Amino acid sequence: MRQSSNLKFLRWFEAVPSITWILLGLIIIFSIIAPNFGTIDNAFNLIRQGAVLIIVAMGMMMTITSGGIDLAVGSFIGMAGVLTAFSLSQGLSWPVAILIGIATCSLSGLISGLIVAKGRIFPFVVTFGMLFMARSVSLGFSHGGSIHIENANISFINEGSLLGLPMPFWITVVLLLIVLFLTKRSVFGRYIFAIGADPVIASWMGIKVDLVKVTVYVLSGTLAGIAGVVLASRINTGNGLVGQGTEFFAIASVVIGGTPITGGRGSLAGAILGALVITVLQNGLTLLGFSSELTSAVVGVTLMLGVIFAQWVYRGGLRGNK
Amino acid sequence: MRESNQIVEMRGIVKTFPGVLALDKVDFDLHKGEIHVLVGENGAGKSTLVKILSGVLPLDHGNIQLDGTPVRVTSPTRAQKLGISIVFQESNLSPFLTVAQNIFIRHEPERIGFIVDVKEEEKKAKELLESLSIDVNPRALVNDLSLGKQQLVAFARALSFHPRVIILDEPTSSLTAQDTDLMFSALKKLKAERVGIIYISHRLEELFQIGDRITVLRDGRKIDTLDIKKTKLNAIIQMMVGRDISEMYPKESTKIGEEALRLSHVTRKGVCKDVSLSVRKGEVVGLFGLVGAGRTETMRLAFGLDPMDSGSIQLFDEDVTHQLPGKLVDLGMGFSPEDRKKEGLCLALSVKENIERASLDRMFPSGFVSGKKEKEVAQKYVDDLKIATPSIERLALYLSGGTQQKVVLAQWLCAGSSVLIMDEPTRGIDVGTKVEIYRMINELAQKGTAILVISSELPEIMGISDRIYVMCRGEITGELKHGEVTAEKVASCAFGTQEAVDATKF
Repeated sequence: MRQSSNLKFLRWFEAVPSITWILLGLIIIFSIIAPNFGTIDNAFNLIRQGAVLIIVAMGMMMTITSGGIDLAVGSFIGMAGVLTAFSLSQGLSWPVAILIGIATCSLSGLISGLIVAKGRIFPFVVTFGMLFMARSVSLGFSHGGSIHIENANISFINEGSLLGLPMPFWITVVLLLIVLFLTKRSVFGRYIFAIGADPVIASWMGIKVDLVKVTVYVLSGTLAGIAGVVLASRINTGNGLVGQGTEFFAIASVVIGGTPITGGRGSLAGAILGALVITVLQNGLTLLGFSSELTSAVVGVTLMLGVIFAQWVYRGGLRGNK
Repeated sequence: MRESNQIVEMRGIVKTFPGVLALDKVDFDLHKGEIHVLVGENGAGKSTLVKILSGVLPLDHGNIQLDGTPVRVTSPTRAQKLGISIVFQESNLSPFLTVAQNIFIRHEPERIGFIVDVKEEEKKAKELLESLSIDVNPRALVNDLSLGKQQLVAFARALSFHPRVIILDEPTSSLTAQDTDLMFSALKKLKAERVGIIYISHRLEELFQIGDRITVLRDGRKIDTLDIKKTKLNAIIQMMVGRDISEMYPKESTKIGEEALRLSHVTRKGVCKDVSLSVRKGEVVGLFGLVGAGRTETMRLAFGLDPMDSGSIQLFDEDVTHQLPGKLVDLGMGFSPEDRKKEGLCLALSVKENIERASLDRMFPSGFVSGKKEKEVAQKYVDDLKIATPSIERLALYLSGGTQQKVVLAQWLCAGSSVLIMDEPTRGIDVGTKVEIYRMINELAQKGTAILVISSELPEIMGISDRIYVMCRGEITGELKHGEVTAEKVASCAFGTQEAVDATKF
């Protein structure tokens, strides 16, 4: 009898993505040991900080699941912010400025996608190249520094609130619903999984593999562009250097969230929880007074442990070998 | 009247792959409501022909008519629209989508535009599976199903297009007897609905059970199309094989010495059961069986690549049960795998590096590599084995299949292997090079090497072996000596059903 209740517990335990336990653990630990962690102010802070990474991680989840990767998203964040700020400084209205910032990222994603799909070049290499090109665009337009943004509407993106919750929260939720819908309910979502598992079989099924690939990179670029605008509104500047390294945090979020780097399967919820784990870690350690070097080390260790834990559960966890 | 009965007509189909003429002016036709069986040895061109008809491969020459109208099947989507469905030999589903999602991928029940009506999808999948009596949960992930169930789901997917023509490429290779019956009754129902069915199978006993007509392909050419009721099994085998065996296989007698490799009662769940076999020095032993009989898997156990549940392995006088491949190579064992491009050699390395890959420790005990010695050794093997490469620095990637196979052999010769396991050593190799490989096998045997050859080609295995073991569904079902081997005996052991063979009256 004890055996069966044990198994029931295990099944329940395994049904929840392992990353959830890590996130809960971190929140509990920091609430106890870190001063000010458990306050409303800090919670809002977490949302504002986390929004950028969560939005980018959603795009990364799609590229990785499709069997690819997008290393340029960090540079897109910088590029979107700088181009928005630059457009404003040229006297364009704020919606047009934002559109220019985001659309440029979508277009860059389109270029990456076309080279990946039509040129049959490894996405790693293509988007690595795009990383440098997009960064050079943002540094060029900002002359290597930053462009100040003075626009109440742009600031509202970060500071405004709706129903008592900050705007970045609502932006993230809306995007999340869209991506969730795309991956779970749309035909396109099915195709992402199919081409990631085996592009040849997918083409035998009649799926237009190239079209799906290109679309994935356009979406990834667009999401990174939106994240860039959210970040620019938070720092009130278009800075040519921001966003560097975000691509790696996004990959980490996706992978510790249970999406294998080889593609074919993926978990959107996992990617978002992964991004939250990283955000909570960074925030909590900063509150504890950790230096940024030390914070990086702890984040690194947590990532490895997270992946090992996820793998262990995937292979059968407490029940032993599958 | 006969014209209206015809649904597919393929005329003069030609298809070449780099260096290989896969299909040479093949004609093929299919009637409404018939099961037309397509047989031939591996590489005869069966799969290529059906891949052309289903839009997966483009044809070089020839034309296809559907219901009397010329059509161009340019893509799988086009084929689906024309009403041609195919179930491929390998599972062709997406593993991390559910059964229902897989069945309806590319023709999902939609609400608005690209939004999937999930409820409708599951309902329709459930209905379809139930109508075929396939016991699978539409919500299950395909990855969690057995291979056989996956194949049934692929079959259901093919039917979900309501095809006029359905192609099955070895559909029963991983099915249980019960699931096979299930599929056959579904096929009979389709026949009654006037659907044209093309059926490829290696299980010859099945063909008599369900086939109406049979077309035999050999080396990319059509040999004949016959009414299956008026044809005998041995006639079909003869057409499939076709060549004069003695000329192709220059078998020479060798002095057979002591025992080199012995497997005793080797068992691994789901792979093989109680397999015992032995190879002596100077002896060429063949291991025959149908695809999926467990030959490769068993020899992987022998080479320490996979763990086994019970049994023991002896190499010369040493017990090497549960030893790793590295140790076995040191003791003189070599393994030339079936997929030489993936497992046999490193395509991105040169001929020289490939040849010496398994021998560097022995060649350079100090740990420092001498470029001069490296070149001398590699050149020696290139000359000895007449490896057709412009230089020893040539990357293995650019060599033909036969030359690659020689490089794999050179690798084990260089490593001083005295026991060699060769898995399908001549697959995908042209006839001329095949004969060279047979000669090399002979020479090695004469020098005292113990050789075990796995092959699916009956004439090959009969031509080169001193002794043949036959496997069927993971078990050894026969052991035959060179003199007493006949195609019929081997085939009956391989099919595992003596009765089936008797019934067709040899």
